[in-house]
Amino acid sequence: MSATVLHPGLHSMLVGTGRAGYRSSGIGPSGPMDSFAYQIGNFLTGNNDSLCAIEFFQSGPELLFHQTALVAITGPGSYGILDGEKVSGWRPLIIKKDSVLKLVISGDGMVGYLNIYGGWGAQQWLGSSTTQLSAGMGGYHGRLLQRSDVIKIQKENNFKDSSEISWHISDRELSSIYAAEKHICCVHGPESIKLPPAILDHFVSQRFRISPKSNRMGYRLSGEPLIMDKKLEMISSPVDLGTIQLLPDGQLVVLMADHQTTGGYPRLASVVHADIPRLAQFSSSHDLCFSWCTPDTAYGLMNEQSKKINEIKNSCLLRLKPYLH
Amino acid sequence: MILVTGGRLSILKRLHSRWVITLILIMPGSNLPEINYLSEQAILLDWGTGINLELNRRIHRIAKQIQQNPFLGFKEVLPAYSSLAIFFDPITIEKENPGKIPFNVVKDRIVQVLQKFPEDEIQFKGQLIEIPVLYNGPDLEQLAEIKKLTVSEIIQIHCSRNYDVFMLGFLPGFAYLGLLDEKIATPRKSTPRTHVPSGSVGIAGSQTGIYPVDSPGGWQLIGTTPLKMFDPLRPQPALLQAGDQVRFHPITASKFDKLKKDS
Repeated sequence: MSATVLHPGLHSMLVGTGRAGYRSSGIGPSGPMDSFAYQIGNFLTGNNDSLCAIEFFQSGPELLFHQTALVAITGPGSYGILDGEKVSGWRPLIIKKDSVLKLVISGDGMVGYLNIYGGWGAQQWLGSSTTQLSAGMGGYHGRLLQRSDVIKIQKENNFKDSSEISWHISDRELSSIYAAEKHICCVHGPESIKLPPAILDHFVSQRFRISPKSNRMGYRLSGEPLIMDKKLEMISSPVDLGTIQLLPDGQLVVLMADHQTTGGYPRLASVVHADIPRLAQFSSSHDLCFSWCTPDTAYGLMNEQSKKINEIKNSCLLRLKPYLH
Repeated sequence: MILVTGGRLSILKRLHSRWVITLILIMPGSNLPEINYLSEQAILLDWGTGINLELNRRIHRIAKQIQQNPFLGFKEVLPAYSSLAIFFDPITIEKENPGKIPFNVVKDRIVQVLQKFPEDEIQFKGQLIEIPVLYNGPDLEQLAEIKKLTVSEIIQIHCSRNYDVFMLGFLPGFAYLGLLDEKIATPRKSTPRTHVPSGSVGIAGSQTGIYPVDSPGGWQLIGTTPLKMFDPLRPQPALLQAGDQVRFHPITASKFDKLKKDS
């Protein structure tokens, strides 16, 4: 009931739904970078809830399966190589015992997920299975996956008649989430009003790229620096997923899944949460720009996305029902 | 009574009208927080940029009150020096209040709490925690030089008062302690270290603190404690909680080794 890591890939680890309730102890939620791809991966593998997945960046891990399993590869541009044959993402996929699956991401995305029926076995810590790298807890011994790690598969199933599973999430549905030409929407941050209007205008009028120095804590934006004549004095104050901080050198950082709980830099803007999955997938070779929106719009986008996720969930679970028992 | 600040209207118009309008709560004789949007799931109460113990203690009391009387959809509180974030589940709140903006629902609720919040009350009491320190930090001698003090004077000053835990943040279990005697207050290093070992005791401005886990960091390092400031296997992993007080005392290298072995 397990799979062995033959090659760990660039940066692969176990993620689950974020850890809630410990921000006041300095412990943030962590969780997946692209919550949309992560959730859909769960539904494609017949999981009602959001169970533990393997998250990988660019060059993904290679796994040897010691039992037959139902998995799904999700994330824009993510696909697999199963015993030498290319297999596409965004669909339920049966892996036969003793097969080797290598995970790959093409130029269309940055981060991918490998979900499995019943979830991957992970260490729970403070109510979540997600890896917390700075505390060294949760997930797989609180660390990135390494060669020869053996990851437990939680649930067994023979997946009878599974040869008929041949559907996938449509490109149309995916393009509504990941469309590259759309701006990233932001609501003004708590310090917006204290910053010179020219800074705010400059922020939405230029193009940025995600700097290669980015990581799960934050995406640094490379662009023209937003220089202020006078620095804004700040003391440490709460931040959240999507908070855009203005650093003293005029550079910007968008706080991502592994963000700190508090920060001492002006909070210029807050990326709407519905746009975080799309932002997480931007590669450093694509331009992106930001536009202002109101909280009404942010909640509207959130509801729209949550509705879409529910529709996909219901349809996946219904279609998978005959194979899972 | 809730008023919109007048002087900033021209800027407000630029910034999408009513949404970034800063509300000011008028409460007799108390500090006035701004109420801001932090994200779809978080509201921020901000009392300004000062470090003030009395205000900080009031913020922790307000946080506790909200936590102990949670509204539907409440997730968690995050108190800081002079601000407080309240996290909630917007989907739950929207379901219960159809047609309303979750942020506004929570804001109304919080305004009520603030308006009714008592001015004078029993002092918020945390624990006093003794922290043994081996004063062997790599920045200790340079600090003494800059401050024109001897190393033992620095140690004596650092150990001469109780420090208050103003907030936790930055790293799992990292407690911001203050305030330092101005005689030893010193800015962060201009280039942060890429690796600071857990247990390192540092100084930044008029704050002092202890790195609970290995991490990069820019604080001036003056010593090391053998105590486990953060133990993920404890039910409450962080040793210090906001509201606690801390007193440092110097120990020898052999005592350090012994305590380290025991912990």
